[in-house]
Amino acid sequence: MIFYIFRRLLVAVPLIFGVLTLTFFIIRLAPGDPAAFFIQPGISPNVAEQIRQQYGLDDPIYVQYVKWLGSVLQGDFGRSFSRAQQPVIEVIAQALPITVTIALLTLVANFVLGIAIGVVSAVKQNTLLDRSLTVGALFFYSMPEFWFALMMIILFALKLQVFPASGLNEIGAEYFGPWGFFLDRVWHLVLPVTVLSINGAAGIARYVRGSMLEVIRQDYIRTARAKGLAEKTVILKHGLRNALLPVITLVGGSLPFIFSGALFIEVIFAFPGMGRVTVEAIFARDYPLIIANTFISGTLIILGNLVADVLYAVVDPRIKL
Amino acid sequence: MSLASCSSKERQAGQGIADSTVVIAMLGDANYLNPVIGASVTSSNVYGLIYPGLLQSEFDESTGLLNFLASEQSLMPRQPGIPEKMNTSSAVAKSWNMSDDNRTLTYILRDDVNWNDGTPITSRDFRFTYQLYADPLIASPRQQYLAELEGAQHGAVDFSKAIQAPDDTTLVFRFYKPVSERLALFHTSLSPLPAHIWKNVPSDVFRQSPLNQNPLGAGPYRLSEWKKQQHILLESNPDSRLPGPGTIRRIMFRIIPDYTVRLAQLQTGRVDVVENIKPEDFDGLRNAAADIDIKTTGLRVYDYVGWSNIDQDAYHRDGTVKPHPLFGSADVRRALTLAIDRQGILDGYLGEYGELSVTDISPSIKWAYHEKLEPYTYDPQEAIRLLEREGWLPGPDGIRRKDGRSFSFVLYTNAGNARRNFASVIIQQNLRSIGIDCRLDVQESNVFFKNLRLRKLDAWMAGWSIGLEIDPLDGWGSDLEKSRFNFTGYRNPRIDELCNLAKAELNPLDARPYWIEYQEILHRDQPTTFLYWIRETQGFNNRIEGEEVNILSTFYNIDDWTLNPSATVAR
Repeated sequence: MIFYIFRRLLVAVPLIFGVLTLTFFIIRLAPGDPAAFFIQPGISPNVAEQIRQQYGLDDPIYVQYVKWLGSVLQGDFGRSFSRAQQPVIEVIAQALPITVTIALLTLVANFVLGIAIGVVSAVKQNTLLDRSLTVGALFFYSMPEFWFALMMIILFALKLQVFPASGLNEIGAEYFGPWGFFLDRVWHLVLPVTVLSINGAAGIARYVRGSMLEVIRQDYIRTARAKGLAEKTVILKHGLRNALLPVITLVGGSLPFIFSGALFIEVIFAFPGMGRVTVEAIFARDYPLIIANTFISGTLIILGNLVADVLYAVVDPRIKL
Repeated sequence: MSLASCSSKERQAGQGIADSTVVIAMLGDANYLNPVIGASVTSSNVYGLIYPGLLQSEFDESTGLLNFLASEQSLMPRQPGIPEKMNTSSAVAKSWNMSDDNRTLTYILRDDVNWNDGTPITSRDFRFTYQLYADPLIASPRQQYLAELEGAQHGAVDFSKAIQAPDDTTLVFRFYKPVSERLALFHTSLSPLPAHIWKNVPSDVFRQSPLNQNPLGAGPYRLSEWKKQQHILLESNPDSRLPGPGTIRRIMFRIIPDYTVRLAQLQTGRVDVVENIKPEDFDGLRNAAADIDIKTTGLRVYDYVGWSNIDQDAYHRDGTVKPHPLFGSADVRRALTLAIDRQGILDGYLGEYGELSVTDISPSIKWAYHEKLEPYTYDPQEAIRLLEREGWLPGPDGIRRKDGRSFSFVLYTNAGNARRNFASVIIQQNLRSIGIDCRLDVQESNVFFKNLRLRKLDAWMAGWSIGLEIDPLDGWGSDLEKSRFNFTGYRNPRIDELCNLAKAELNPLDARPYWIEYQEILHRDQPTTFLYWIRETQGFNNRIEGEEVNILSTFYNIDDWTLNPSATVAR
C-alpha cells in the first residue's frame, strides 16, 4: 500500500505540473490585461506600459514561460499583481487557514448531519418522518447555495438579528478575552457553515439511507436482534458500522466540492479566504496568484482522490492496492 | 446574544469600542497606503487621512470650481456656511505666489508641522516625493500631474530646474509653459512622503517595501491595524496639527465585497456608512432597524449609449476613416436618441436620483454648464421621420432597410450592472417599435473594456465618471491614435479647436464661451446618446453627526464627524 501511495504521488507531480502549464497559457491568452486598470482618462498612457514592464509582461510568452518555470521550480510563485506586490505564498498563507477551517467544519457537519438523517430515515422507513426528511433533503439539495446563503442572511441577520452577516469577528472582539473571541468567531461561522453543509448533508443522507436499508435486511442483523441485543446497539453497532463502508469513500470525493462551495460563501460572508482570493485574482487578471491558487486547489483535489482510494482499501479488505 | 457567556465587563469594553468607532463598508481592500502608488478608492480614502497635503482643496458649489487653500491664503473666497472647525487648515503651505508669466509657482511652507516621529515637514520632502512620482520604475498613476513641469516637454522632468527647495520652507515649481494658477495649484499639491524614511528605498523595490504597510504620516489619523482583506483600523492622531487629531477616536474601513451584505449590515447598524446605495433599496432602508440617512452628492457619473461613428472594419484594415453604415450620420444618431425613452428609464430606475444628460459637461460644473440646452424629448414620430429622410425604409420583416442592409446590430454592455441591464431592455423595446433590431449582449467587464479600446464594438452602453477639471479631448479628439478614449471615432475639428482654446485660457471662467459652443456641437452631432447623470447616494447611520458629503468625496470631512454614543448599538 505504501508503494501504491508513493506511486500515486509520483504520478501527481507531472499531472499538477501539466495543469499549471495549461493555466499559465490559458490565462495569458484569455482577453483582459492586468494593467487595464491604469488605462483611464487622467492617467498618463505611459503608466500601463511601465506596469506591464514591471510585471515582465512585455516579454514574448515563451520567454515569460521559461522565466516562470525557473522560479516555480525553485518554489517561488512570484508576487501578486493586484495585492500590493505581496509574495503570493504569503497571500495564500493568510487565506488558506480560513478556508481550511470552513472546509473541515463543513466536512464534519456534512457527515454528522447526513449520517444522522440517513439512519433515522432508514430505521423509520416509509413513515411520515422518513418522507418529510426525504423531501426536506431533496428540497435543500436542489437549492442554489448562493441563494440559500442570501436567504439565511435575510432571515437570521436582518429579520431575527441572531447571527452576523459578515466578517470573521465583531468590531472590538479583541477585547472580549480569548474565550469571548473564540465564541465570537464560532458565532460568525454558524451561518456560512450551515449553508455549506446542508446541501452536502442532504446528499450524504440519501447514501446512508440506501446503504443502511440494505444492511438492516442482512442475516447478521436478525441474529443480533435474536440474541436479544438492545435495538440501539443493533442499529448503531452492527448496522451503522457496516453501512458506513461505502459512505467513508465519499470523504475524499466531497473535498473539491466543499472547496468550490467555500468560494462563493467567502465572497458573500466577506471572509478573506482562498475563494475570495481566487475570484478577485481572476477579475484582476493577477496571473501569479491565479496560478498559485490553481496549484493549491489542484493539489487538494488530487490528494482528495488519493485519500478516497486509500480509504476504500482500508475499510474494505477485499480491495487490494 | 450568543455572547452571553462573556463577562459583562468584557462586553462593556466591546460596547465602548463600538461607541467610539465609525465603521465604513468598503467593496475592496486598499492596495498601497502610499500616495505615490496607491490606486484603489479605498487606498486614497485611507492615505488621505494619514498623509499631509500641501494645500486643502474644496469644491465650490456655487461655481462648480475647485478652490485651493493654504493656511493663510485661498484661491477664491470661501463659501459661507463652512463649519467653524474646518477653518483649521490642513495645508502645509502657508501661502503661494504665482509669477506674472504664470511659469513659476513659489510656496511658503509652515515651519511648525512635523511628521509623526517628530521630524519637521520641509520643502525637501515635497521635492523628494515629486521625484518618486516621476520615476518610470515606480510607475505612479499620478505622473500626469507633472506634465507641465520644466523638462516634461522633452519627455522627462528636469528636477534641477523644475522643483527647487532653497530652504526648509520655500518650494518652487517651474513650468515650461504658462499654466493657469488653478491648474498649477492642482498639479503641484500631491501628497508628500517623509524623505528621511523613504530615501534609501530603491525604485525597483518601491512597491514591495514594507513601509507601504506601515505609513508614517502627519494627518488627523494614523494606522492602527491592517488585517488584509478584513479591515483597516485608523486611530485619531494626537500629535496631528494638520488640521488636528480626528474627532472620532477610531475609523474602521471594513471590507465587505457583497452589496446585499453591505446593505444588511447598514440596516442592522453594524456598519455606519455604505456608499452607492441602489435606488431600489431606499424603501428597505427607511424601514430598517437602524436610523439611516441617505445623502446624495453632485453629478459626476453618467451612462451613455455609444454608437461607432466610423466604419471600424475599414479603419482597422488600412486606417481609412469613413462613416459607419448604420451610425455614421448625425441625423440617424439623433433619431436614435429621440427614439429612446430616456425619461422612462430614469423614472423606472433612478427616479429622483438621476437627471437627463445633454452632453458630458455636468450640471454640477456650473461655470461651464449650458443651462439653455434642453435634452431631446422622447419623440418616436420625429425619429421615424429622420430615419426615412435618411433612406431607412421599413423592410418586409418590419426592420428598416437601406441599400440592402437592414438596421440591425448588437448592443453590448458589461456584466453585473443592474442599472444598465434595466436600461438596455427598454432601449431594445424602444428601437424595436420604430423598426430597428437591437440585440443585447453582456460581456465580462475586462473583456468589454478591451473591446471598447480596440474599437471593436458597433454599439454599446457604458458610463463615464468625469474629472472636475474639464479635459475631454481624450474622448472626442480627431486624432484617433492619440485620443485613446474616443471609442466612437467621432471627428470634428471644431471640437479639437475649442478644447485647445479653452485649455489655453489662464482663467477658467474666460473659457466659458468655448465650452458653451462645445456643448451645442455635441448636442447637435450626438456622437453618443447621452442618457442620464447619476446622483450617487450614500447611506449614513444617524449616530454620525456633522458629515458633509460633496462631489470630491463621501469622506470629505470625516475627521470632523462626531458619533452619538449608543444610539443604535443599544437596541
